[in-house]
Amino acid sequence: MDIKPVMSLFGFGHRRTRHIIIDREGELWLKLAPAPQGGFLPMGATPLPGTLRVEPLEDGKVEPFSYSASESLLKLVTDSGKTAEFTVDGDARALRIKGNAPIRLNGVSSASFVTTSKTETGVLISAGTTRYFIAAKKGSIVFDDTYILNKFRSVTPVLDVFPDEGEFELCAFDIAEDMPLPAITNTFEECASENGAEFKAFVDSLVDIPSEYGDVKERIAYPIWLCHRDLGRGAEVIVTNKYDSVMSGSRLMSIASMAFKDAKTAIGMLLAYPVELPPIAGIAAARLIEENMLCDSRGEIYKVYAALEAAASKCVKERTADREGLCFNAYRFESGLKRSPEFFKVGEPVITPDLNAYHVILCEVLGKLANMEYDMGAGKKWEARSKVLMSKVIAELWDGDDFIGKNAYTGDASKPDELLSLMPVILGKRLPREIILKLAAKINPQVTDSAMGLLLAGGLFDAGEEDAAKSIARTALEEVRDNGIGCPFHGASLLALAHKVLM
Amino acid sequence: MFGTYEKYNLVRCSFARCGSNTYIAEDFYRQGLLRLGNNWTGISLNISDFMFDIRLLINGAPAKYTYFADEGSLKLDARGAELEFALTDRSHFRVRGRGAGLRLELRSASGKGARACRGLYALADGSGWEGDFANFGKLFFRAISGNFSVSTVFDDDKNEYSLVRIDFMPDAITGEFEAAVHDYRDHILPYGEYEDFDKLVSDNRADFARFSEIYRNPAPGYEELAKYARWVVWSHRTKAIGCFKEPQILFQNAWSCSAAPWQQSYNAMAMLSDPAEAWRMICVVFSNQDPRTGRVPGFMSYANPATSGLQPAFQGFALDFLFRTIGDSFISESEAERMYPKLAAWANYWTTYHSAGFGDDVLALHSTHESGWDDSSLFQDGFPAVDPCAMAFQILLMEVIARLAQKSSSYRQEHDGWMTRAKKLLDTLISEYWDGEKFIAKVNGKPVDSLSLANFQPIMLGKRLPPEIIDKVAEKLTAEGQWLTEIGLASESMLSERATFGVSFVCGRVAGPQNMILTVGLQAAGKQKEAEMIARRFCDHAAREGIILGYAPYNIYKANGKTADQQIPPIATDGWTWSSWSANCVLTMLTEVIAK
Repeated sequence: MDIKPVMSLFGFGHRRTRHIIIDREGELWLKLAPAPQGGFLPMGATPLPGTLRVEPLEDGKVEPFSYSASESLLKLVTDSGKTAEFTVDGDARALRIKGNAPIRLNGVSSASFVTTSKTETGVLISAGTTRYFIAAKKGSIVFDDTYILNKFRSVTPVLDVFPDEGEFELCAFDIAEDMPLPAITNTFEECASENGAEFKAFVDSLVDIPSEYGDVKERIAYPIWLCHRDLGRGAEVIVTNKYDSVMSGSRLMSIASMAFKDAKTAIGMLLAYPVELPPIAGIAAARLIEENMLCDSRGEIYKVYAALEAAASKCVKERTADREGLCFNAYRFESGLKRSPEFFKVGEPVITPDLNAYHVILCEVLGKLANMEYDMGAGKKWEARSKVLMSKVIAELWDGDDFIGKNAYTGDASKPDELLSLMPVILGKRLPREIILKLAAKINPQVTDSAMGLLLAGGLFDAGEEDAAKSIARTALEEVRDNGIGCPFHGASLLALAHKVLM
Repeated sequence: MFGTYEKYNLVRCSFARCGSNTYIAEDFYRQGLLRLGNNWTGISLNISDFMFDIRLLINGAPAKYTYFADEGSLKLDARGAELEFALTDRSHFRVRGRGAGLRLELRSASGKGARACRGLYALADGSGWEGDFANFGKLFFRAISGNFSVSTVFDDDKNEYSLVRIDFMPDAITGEFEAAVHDYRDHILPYGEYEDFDKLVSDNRADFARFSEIYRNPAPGYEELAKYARWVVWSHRTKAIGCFKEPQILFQNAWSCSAAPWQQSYNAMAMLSDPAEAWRMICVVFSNQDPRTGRVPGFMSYANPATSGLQPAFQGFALDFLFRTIGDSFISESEAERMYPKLAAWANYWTTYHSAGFGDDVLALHSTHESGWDDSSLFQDGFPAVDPCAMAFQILLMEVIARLAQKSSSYRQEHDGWMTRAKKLLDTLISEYWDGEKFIAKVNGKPVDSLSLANFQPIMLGKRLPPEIIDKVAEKLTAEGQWLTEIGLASESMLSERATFGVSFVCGRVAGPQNMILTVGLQAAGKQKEAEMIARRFCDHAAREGIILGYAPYNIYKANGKTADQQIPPIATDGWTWSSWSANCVLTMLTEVIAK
């Protein structure tokens, strides 16, 4: 699959490693995905796009090049026809590079506190959490590791690689401190082939959508696959962009979970973080129940129940004025949006229709889970709360045309929010028909163009407006076909929607 | 202790308390303005978005104030109107006003206004207001008496707050107010009852007094300096929360607010009246030890665990000092049993992963940070560098491990092996890394032509060294104008072209840790007079200038007569701010090196 359209956004890399090759204005840069580090020195800080810039050389000068990139292989071709190819060795945590073009890996300017050393076996470049050990399987390396004492760093790393008998092969290891170099057991070609197969298997692990959108599914799958981040101890999460972000969280992982077929994967994602506001985890859990993905024998029902109950309890204890009524958002970020919701113009805390719609579903799901655990008393309690909240959402937040927000203390009503006022459509047929129709009239592909926005289309489908939901899904899929996807979570949300409404 | 009219103010030091995340510092650019921050994230005061201006209000209008702070509280005064802050170790601080109100206004240190705030709202039960400040945690503002108002402006275009202001105002009748501000990450932490304010202040003093008892009395004439130093250490002591499972001592409160593993051992050395606490300080860092390799990782903060990096194996030097000073009875058999494998793994980590490759225990470093001396000229020829200081630390560590083996029940048979290794390494250090004038580092077998003070650090081995080496080191360190300055030992010889007093740590400045190591070493070697002379010079200067990490000894460079580089303050460098690292070194010198 051609990933060149996303090379400047996500780059070339691999799910299991931190290696990224990013395109910045036609230049290719090697970088390792960010990782937390302690201490107070800004180790490795740099304004550059990456650690090392890839520069093919001809007679010692940098030569223009073009490149092609798939999920498993990046191939660079110089104007004189020489090549350098890149693939990732997931087992060895190495970026494998081979070719017949002399290559310079150029630091351009030195990152803060970078130290380098050259040994018989290779070159170590250490800059904070970026630690490359670059060894030549074939070919020779020229490298200067002079330490500049009064600048607390080594000279700018510039590593020149020259072919031997017309070819070179390098391994750039992402090497943790004190770790021995992993053994290289696969050839370059085997690595590329395995990566391709791994990616294909990953695509197949995502929910099914109509086959005519198979190409779109692949385009969506790539950033989801790439942007996995290993938390250690076998735990993985997805981040918004592995190249430069570690942003994730309960809301996003709940959305992502709905794109996966495998129950264990989906449940793991749902439980990756403590459930926070907005509690989209309720919708994700509802999907697990509907598709019979929760299996009691593995204690999963209890785990999901416990996670959701903590969120529901927080809503009741900390986000209601009286532990009985509708919940409020204390902070803007609790809406899940980057921007400030319109509701907050009446001052916080604000009773919002989106939070309470999520809460209705959350309580209903808790009721179902409790019943599945044969705790009928708790089941009835949650079901009753869900019903009460449902009535209140309409009675207190529907003004005849829109769902609005209200200041939790003064009762001052806000104007509607262009997205969040529509979110109660996720309640589906729990809403009266006239409300559904009014919401549906405002839900269009523009409004739904985000990970959370696509939940609206799912709600339309549940509300009986199936054609509208399908239309939104198809439009979104076509948009991805034409213009790609900018966020793995947006992609996951679209896959989940497409599976729900088009299959 | 600190104040507008006191010898020291809070420009270079910050007002803080043992077990509190809150600190208050005087703004360098607007002297006379105090600023409040916290050290949850480890982000320095000069770039933190989480900084509140502290304004004293009279009839609602800000007034200029003076201040005075001691271990009990911080008082602000403006024409008789008074505010008083008392920190606690229970995740909150208290403030009261008499004839004055308090304004806390959020103002980023890096010009980003009030962007640290993600929201501020009144709790439904009317108990107060909670603010969310992202990575900096949450604050809960509660008026215990008097009045309270919150003003916020959210800029929709910038999608951030442009104003966050909290005012506590006195009651119209009593003219007084009292408030509490709680800080936490997610949920407010249990804090018990709000005690009487005066009792809180007196409890703070009592807590500091209790803490002070773990130190011996200083040499006569240094009582005031010792008190300052003890206060700095006490006020940098963390509580057991976040990544700190046990209290540690932060390097600095408002700048590099992280805990360095080797600094915990520095702190231990001064705690001679409480060997159990000293031992705990040395052992605490081993809870982060990598079980696979034995590495004890580097810095940590409340929010960031210790994962990467490392610092020298200082534990042997610290314990050797403690054994020499107070004996080893504070280590029980069970403690020896517990810590032997950890310390052994740590020593073996060095010889495995930092081996110089000679088939023995000679060590080589791969970066300056591994030595603790980030810009020592020992490393001017690059890496890997065989470092005599690292070997000296290793020798002492091996001997300490041998002693632990002997005190344990399961490892006694390991004693001789460790002593043999230590002796062999010592012999190698003397025979191959002493050039007749100083110890030397080597890179690729070639001596590094360095005039660093660190060349003399192996004097920490005391009488293990031959008399001629001891005499030569003592001679070098007491020759005026080379390393010895009027204010202590400079980290790079004054005759060196490399010496710099600008943005540097140990390439010219007179730094506390090195002065402590060398004076302790000279004392151990029997050179008491020399040790005391140097220690007095350093401590006398600290008494004049405050407990900062490193001092520029001159305004010019002696080697070439040029004007010395000046650091542009305020920047988060070692030469500018008070630190617990300097404080514990001062305490060791005052209580043990300088004869009573």
